[in-house]
Parts: sequence; C-alpha cells; structure tokens
Amino acid sequence: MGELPAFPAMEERYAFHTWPDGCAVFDRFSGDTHILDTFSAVLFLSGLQVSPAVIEKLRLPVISDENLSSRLDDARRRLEKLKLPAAPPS
Amino acid sequence: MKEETAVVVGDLSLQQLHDALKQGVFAVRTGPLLFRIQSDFEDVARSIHALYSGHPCQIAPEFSDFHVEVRAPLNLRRWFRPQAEFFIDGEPPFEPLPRDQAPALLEWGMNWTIAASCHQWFTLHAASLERDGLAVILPAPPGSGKSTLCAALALRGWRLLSDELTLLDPNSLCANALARPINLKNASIDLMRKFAPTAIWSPESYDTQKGRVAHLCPPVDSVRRMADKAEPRWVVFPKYVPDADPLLTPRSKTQTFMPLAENAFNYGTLGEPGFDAIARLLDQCSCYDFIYSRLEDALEVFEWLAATSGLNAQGQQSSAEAQ
Repeated sequence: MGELPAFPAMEERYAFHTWPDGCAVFDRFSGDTHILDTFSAVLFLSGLQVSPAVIEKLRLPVISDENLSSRLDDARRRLEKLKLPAAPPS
Repeated sequence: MKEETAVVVGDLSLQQLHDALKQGVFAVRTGPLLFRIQSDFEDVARSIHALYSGHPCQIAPEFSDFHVEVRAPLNLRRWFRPQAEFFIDGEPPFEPLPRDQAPALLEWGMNWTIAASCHQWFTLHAASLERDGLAVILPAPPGSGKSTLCAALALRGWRLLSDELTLLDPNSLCANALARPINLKNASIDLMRKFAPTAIWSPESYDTQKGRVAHLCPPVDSVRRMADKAEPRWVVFPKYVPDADPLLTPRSKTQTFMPLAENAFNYGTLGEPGFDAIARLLDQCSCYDFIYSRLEDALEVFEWLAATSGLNAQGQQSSAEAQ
C-alpha cells in the first residue's frame, strides 16, 4: 500500500494574491479558495511569515487600540473557522 | 495551423448547406473552434445560413474540434409530439426539446459543448467585447440585461467576442473571439429589433425554458476579425433596473474575485491556474458594477470607459503580490 501524500509545509500549501483591501487565498491541499479582509489577511500572511513588503501593500485602517484587539480577535476566529493559519497573539 | 479555404457559409446555397448538413460533412468555424454539424432539419439549415453567413466553413474537413448533431430522438414520444435532440459525439447531454426549438437547441448545445470541454482556456460565463485591442468582460446572471447590453454594444462600435462564453488564455489572459449569434429573450428581442431594424435574426422560438428566444446575427466585422484576440481591461457587472439612471460604481478587486470564480465554468477543474488567472485578470482590469435602464445611456458610459483605456488599470487599486 502506498504512503499517504505528505501534508505540504505551510509556506508551500497556500497561493495568495493581495490587493489593498484584502487577499485571495488558494489552498493547494484542499482546492478551496478564501477571500480575506485586511485584518484577516494581516494575520494570515504574518502566520506564513511572508516578506513585510507584502503586508505593507494592504491598506490598513487607522484604529484605536481597544478596537484593534477586538478586530484582530474576530479575524483570528474567522481564520480558525476557515482552518487557515494565523500569526500567534503577540 | 493549416490555412483554411476561404469559403464562408454564405457562399453556399441553402440547398447546398442543407445537403451537407444532412450528410454530416458540414463544418463551421467559430473563433478558434471548428464544429462539424449534422442535421436533417431544414429550419436548422435556414438558421445556420442566416446566422453564420460570414463564418468560414469547410466540407468534410479532416479534423474538427466537435461533432454535433440535432435530430429527432428515437423515442416513443416523437410519434405524439415532435422533438429535437442535441448530440455531441453521439451522446445526448440534455433531454429533447420541442421540435420547433431545434435551431435554438443547436446554439445552446454548441455553447454547452464549449463550456463543458474546452479546459485549455479559462472559461467565464460572461459576454465580452473589444475596442482598440482591449476587452470588456460582462459577467452577470441571467436576467441582468447582459446579452441586451452586449448586443447594443456590438451594434455600436464594439467588436463582439462572445455574448455568453469568454475564453481566456490562462497564460496571456487574452480573450478569444467566438463571434457567435447573440441569444436574446422576451422583451429584449423587441427592444433590439427597434434598436437595429436591419439586423438579421433567427426565427423566434416560443415557450422555451427561457420564454421567447431568438438569436441575433453577429456583426460582419466581428466575424471577419474573429481570429483577433483582445486584452481584458475592464470587468463590468451589468444590471438592468427599470427607469434607473446609469450608475457605474468601482468594485473592490478582492470582492470581485469570488463572483468571477463562481461565473467560471472550469475554476474547479483548473485549480491553481484558475486562481492565478483570476488574480492576474483583476490586476490588469478596472472593475465596476453598472446599473442601467436605457441603452443610449449605457452606450455613453461605455464610450467613456473606452476613452479612459489609456489610464493604468492599477490606478483604481494598486499593487498585488503573487506567491
């Protein structure tokens, strides 16, 4: 019996494309496509440890500290639901 | 590619065409595809003669991309109510339709054949037209006024690429032209008959699943130039809203991704190349929603779009990064 296909490394698993207001993600393992808003995109791309220059291309809103925490929490929950990686909380 | 003899359908008499169709040796070129068509039905011959008069054709070609046939099905029902059935390579992909819908069934069947088979292209369910080498893509669900708008543009200075299927080369993203007849429904038929009184039409079919339908002959220049590809520059989602003033609203490229994927016939089949094609398409296109009610208004807006073609599409939303 052949071996199961190896689970691809995180950085190889996803193709992505960013625009100022978000990001499209293609999961090479599942074939799924996801659309992420800027907050989710920042968490996702940080989790993949992409070049900062990629993240800087997102148009990030200016937001107060307390609102930022809540938005990032929402984004993290969204990524969990989509089974997408996210940068760990700092 | 072997150079085809420059015979067009209009060079054949109706009788010659009908004989060739009956023998199954007639083939017509629509853009990059050669369809070999067989049918005994005289109304199918008349419809092809009218709608494809400028399209190159061949008799008994050595190769064709598809073999299709429209004929009476061999079922019991045909003795009570005549029917027509579409076949591709001898297999019927759909249920038969009433006999008087045979010409329309051929058109729908040809569209289905392209959408279901041609995975060498990224195929969008969208109309597309060209001006000065640049293409506008009009994806929209049925009932949005897409084909009506497409017909009006094709009759007023834009070159018709397709009213239904936009075939994009996945590498260059260039749009191929099919220059097929434009399928119009119900009130749109009457509207376009007034808009272009000298246009050539197929006979109308009644009581189809789409209501009353007819096919409009593609403009001569669109057929003559159907080998010319075009570079997509705009993606516009049209929507007909009665009595509405024209309104062209920029769309987020991120939020346009999924509607394009959902309008693609082979996004799932292509996988990552399909993802990459949409991402790059969005990079090079300006994206809009467009509400309209009057064709004259719509034509003005599209003239404005064409006039802005010198602007960089990325001026609307800049920068993208592919991994």
